[in-house]
Amino acid sequence: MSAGDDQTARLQRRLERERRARREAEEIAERATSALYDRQRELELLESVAVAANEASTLADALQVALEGICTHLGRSLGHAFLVDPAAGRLVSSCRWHIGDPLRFEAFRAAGEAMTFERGVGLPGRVLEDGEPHWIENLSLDASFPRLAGAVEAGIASAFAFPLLVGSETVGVIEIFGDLPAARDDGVLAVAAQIGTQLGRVVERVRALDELAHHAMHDALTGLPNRALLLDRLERALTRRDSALTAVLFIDLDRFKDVNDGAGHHAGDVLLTEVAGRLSGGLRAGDTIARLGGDEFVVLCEDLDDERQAVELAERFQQRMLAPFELAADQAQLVTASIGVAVGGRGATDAETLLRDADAAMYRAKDRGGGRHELFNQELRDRALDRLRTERALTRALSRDELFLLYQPIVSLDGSEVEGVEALVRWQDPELGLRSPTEFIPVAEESNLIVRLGEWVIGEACGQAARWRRELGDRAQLPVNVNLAARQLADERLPETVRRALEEAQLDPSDLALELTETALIEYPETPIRTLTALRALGVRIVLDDFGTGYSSLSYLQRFPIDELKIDRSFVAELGTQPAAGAIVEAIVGMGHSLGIRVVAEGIETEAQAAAVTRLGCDSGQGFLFARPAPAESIHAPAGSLTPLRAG
Amino acid sequence: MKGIVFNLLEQIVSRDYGEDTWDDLLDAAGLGGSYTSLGSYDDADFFKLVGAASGALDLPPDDVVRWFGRSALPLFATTYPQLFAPHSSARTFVLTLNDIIHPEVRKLYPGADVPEFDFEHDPDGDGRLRIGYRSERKLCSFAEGLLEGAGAHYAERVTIEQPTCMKRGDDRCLLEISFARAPA
Repeated sequence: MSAGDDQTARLQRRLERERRARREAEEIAERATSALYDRQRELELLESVAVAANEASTLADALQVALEGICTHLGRSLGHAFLVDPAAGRLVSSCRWHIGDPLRFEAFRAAGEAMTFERGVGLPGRVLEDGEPHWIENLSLDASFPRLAGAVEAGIASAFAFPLLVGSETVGVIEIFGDLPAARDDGVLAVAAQIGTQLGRVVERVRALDELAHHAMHDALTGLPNRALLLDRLERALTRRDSALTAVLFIDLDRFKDVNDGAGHHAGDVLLTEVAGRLSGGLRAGDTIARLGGDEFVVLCEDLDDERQAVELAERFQQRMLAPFELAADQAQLVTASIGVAVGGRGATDAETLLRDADAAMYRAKDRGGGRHELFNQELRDRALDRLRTERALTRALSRDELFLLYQPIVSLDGSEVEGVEALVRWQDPELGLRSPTEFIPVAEESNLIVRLGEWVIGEACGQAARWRRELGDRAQLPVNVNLAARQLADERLPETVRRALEEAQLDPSDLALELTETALIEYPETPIRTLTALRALGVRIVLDDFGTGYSSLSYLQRFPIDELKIDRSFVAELGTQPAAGAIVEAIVGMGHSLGIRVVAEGIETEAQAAAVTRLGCDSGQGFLFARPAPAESIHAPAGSLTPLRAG
Repeated sequence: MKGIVFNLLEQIVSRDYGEDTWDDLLDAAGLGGSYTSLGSYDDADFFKLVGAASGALDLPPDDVVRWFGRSALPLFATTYPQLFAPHSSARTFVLTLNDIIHPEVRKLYPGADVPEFDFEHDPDGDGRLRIGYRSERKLCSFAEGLLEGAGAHYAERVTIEQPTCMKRGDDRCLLEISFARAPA
């Protein structure tokens, strides 16, 4: 071979090498371009699912987007999503599909929606069982496909399914069908896995929202609906157009406070949970039981024909309360409930009113001894209306100066000296004349009027005390006692109200005493110490009224900053007739004095009572024997010359 | 091994020894010799070519590989000046291998199996850099060549000791390198 030939051969080889290298490079570039294109589309699919997962307002919307996306991406004509029913632990259709050809797939769709899949059964069941994707390359070769006949009829030849995952928990399954047999494609399954995770996040989010909504609408202790949900359902029931009646049963445990105080809060919670369970067991289908708070439960019953049915339900609930409650190991307790029943319907009542009526009936049941039920009736309705009218009139009275104060002297027991006065509110109604405080004070206490009323009384009494101080000078003191309601004591602004009243009247704080009852202290056990301490710090004296009627009286004297106590009139009335009364009074006096507390006897009507309380050691007295409540003008004389003392 | 390595080798051999030499090497190694930069080829092809060159030049294979590394570096510097520009010494340039240079290689040549180095600064207190290298290909002499080439690029004299080497049965190669300003 010549040098030239050799050179030619070398060049040819080099050319051939270059050609091969070029072809190979082109193939690599084509494969890369094609892979890039696939990857691009996968990313678009994933992105569309991610956007849907973030933006979809419902899980159904996100599922729909995912099904459309996958089927379009893969050129498949049918896709379907199942969700796990958490209670049953099996798959049920979400009724979300991508259907390329509705006519062809109609029967298969209907069958799929009607079926549920247990763990391990069928394609979706297998995914549920192991949380892994499954691929059926050729359905007709797969014995474990329960919908085979329908699938073949619909022209389906292959399928794959993958899980929707929250962590490692499968919460749903998506199945995608193909018209032709198809080899398992791990690339497709990898994308599917990412979609499954995205959709799992939606499921997780929907769950969290549901839980939040549930929390907002349910009582944490018993899991029952709360007031908000009850009112919602009640309102919906009352707006129904049909003629059925709706009943509200207001159920309140009797003496629940005793359980809480006696056996502890835990026992109280156990009792409430147990009651919730027993009452729930007595419901008809469709009834709602709610816990409004504390020991108040409400049952809402719809579709009643008459009141009688509501009352029967109340009886049924009473039956369920009969067995003792096991509050702890060998601690069984009988608990009764008072039930108020109110029935409404045909758009005649609103939810709040019906609830209030049932509440009023419940109070009637309590007033009558508890452990019984009462139906809200005309009489209760009249009473409620009365109360409403009184409330309105009282609001008016406050702004129109219809209220005034009388003052009853508190005197030394020999009647020689007026030591102070108790201010008592009266109401001169321009239409109904003089109205009794026993009528309007409870109404004021039930509404928030008592706070305004109390403010007025404190201001008025301080003004009067200041006038007396100016008139009497230092010759005598005529301090004024003002009564506080429980509700006022719970008002954190009270010390500031008192301070302002003292300031406006330019009254020495020692000329004001505030009277409160044990009941008030019991009713709001948290606030009083702070409030009383703040009041005491102003220089105002604190008087415990009606002492001896509460049930843990003695401890209050130590726990609260008390200057003076008033023995309840019932003990004074029994002096001379009940031997025990004397002993009680003597014990109270002894105890009070040992704690440095002055003791006043109230309701002294006879000389004998005056003599008795004197003998038993009381420091002062109050009662008709000495003086009736009177207008301020009649109590202007200096102490000691006050007339008419002992006017009876 | 990525085709780019073969392309580089071909480029250098043809430049320094003529295109016929490359043909001869392919013949001696019994290889067709079509290599495209993005393709992946059997590592054995490379070692066959090294063996053929070793025979033709009467040099130990490691020296051939070292020469290849030393000669390849200036080509890299021409093609990828931005990787070299920020540095004024070989030492800092070498330290970007794991974090900058090899990631760039992986981007350009998907599937490229580039090694990960362990760097130890001044383990013996004499200012040297110790590089640990572990690879089935045992191409520590290629690394040596590249390091020398880098030194030349920055006008430094690079001295390399190799206390352990996988070819000597150690579980990894250690390259202990000192960089010194080359006399002007």
